[in-house]
Amino acid sequence: MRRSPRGADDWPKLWVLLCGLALTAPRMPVGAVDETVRERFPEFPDIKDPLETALAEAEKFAELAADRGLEPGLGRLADGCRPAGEALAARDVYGSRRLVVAPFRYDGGAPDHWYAWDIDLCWIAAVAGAGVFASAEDALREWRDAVGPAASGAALSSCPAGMTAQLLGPCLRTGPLADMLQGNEPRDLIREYYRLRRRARDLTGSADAAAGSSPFDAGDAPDAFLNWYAARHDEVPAAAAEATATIDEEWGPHEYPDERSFYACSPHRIEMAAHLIRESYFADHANPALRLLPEWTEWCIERTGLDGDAAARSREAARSAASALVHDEDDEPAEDKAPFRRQE
Amino acid sequence: MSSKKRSSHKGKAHRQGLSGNPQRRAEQLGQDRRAGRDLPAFRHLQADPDRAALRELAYRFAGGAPPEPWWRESHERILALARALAWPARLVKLETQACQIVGDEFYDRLRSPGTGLHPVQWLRALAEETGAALRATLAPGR
Repeated sequence: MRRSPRGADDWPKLWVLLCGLALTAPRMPVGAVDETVRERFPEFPDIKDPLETALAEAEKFAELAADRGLEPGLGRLADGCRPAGEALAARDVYGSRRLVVAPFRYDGGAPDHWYAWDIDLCWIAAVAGAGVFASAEDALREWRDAVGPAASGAALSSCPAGMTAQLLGPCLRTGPLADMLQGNEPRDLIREYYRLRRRARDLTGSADAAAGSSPFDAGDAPDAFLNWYAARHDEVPAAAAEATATIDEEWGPHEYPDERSFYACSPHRIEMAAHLIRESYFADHANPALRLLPEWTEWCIERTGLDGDAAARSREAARSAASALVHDEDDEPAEDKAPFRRQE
Repeated sequence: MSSKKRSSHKGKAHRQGLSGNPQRRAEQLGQDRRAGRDLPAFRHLQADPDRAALRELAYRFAGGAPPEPWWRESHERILALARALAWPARLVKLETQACQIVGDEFYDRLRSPGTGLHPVQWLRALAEETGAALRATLAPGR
């Protein structure tokens, strides 16, 4: 006799799926754990939190199963996986790409695995990759391969709680823009979409992104650059201030965990800034900014002490960006076809 | 003073929810209005379209998303795969397998035009359907 595909004997597989959902569904911010979604939005009773829902469904089934003499198991789902130590971080030679890695355990046991986030600060701060690793060294090795030569010398070091919260900011956002997607995220990243948020929330807990670290205020950067520029040139063109403001507007994520991350002039960030300038501005405004990019890059190189191949690659990227000017009669600039998780 | 910007949008981001594009947003809200006829939150507002539209916006910004017709089929595919696969005993590997099954469906839908995936509410609905399917396995008569 053919066994029914949905018989009573397939509950264990659906049960582990439900446990998997309960263990990976994003957790609400610490300040909101006592306030369920239903309480926050009583006028919208159909808006429910996925973790709350998964736990409630698990509880309902566990009660039903107990009535039938079954023990679904898998312990205390509500606690889930918890941090088992401090986070570590690494950065590439430019400072625009960061790795955050932390140990996790289940149910108060020994550390079970490490979870890693690859943070890209070249445009908006974004998670470029995430996943489970057997050790911090394994995570570092995989990240170095993904980031390329710019990360070949990267090493792990302790990451203070405030810095961890800042770097993991893209995973901690809540509200209507929290599920913003660029659209070209790779399959491996989408597979981690929920868990990378859950782990980030569990790791940072109540840590304030502003506490314990000093985010860099880049407000004076345009003036500082223009002073540097004036010291190197007999004449500062009248349009230089506007071109500088344009570059500054399109440079990086506008929120910087440290000074290094602002001056990070990786080829990726230069190309991204140039792409945004070409896409956003008319030729009369875009082209002076594109022509100024090599000087801006040189300023960043000096501020960070970058040298060797890394500096040479930045200069080449800036020269290349400056040679591809905008013509207003052109169609929209070509879409950025670079892979989502790319080398710096 | 003439504008120096060709467009106000920055880059390529788009939200898998309410669109920034006015025409697309109007279409989405129209779809929601049609799909939301049975939602308790909107039922009493059908006589006042302006107020209903405002309320729909508030609903979206509060994280709401009416279930799309394709959600159920999408969840069924995940449940079928969960039934078919062997599951590892180690918790982190179990998590990873759940992430793969759910994430692969998410990825495929993300690449389907006009599906209007809302990651959070789609996941919440999946948890509900998994719970319902589980209870059905122990229903009398099985």
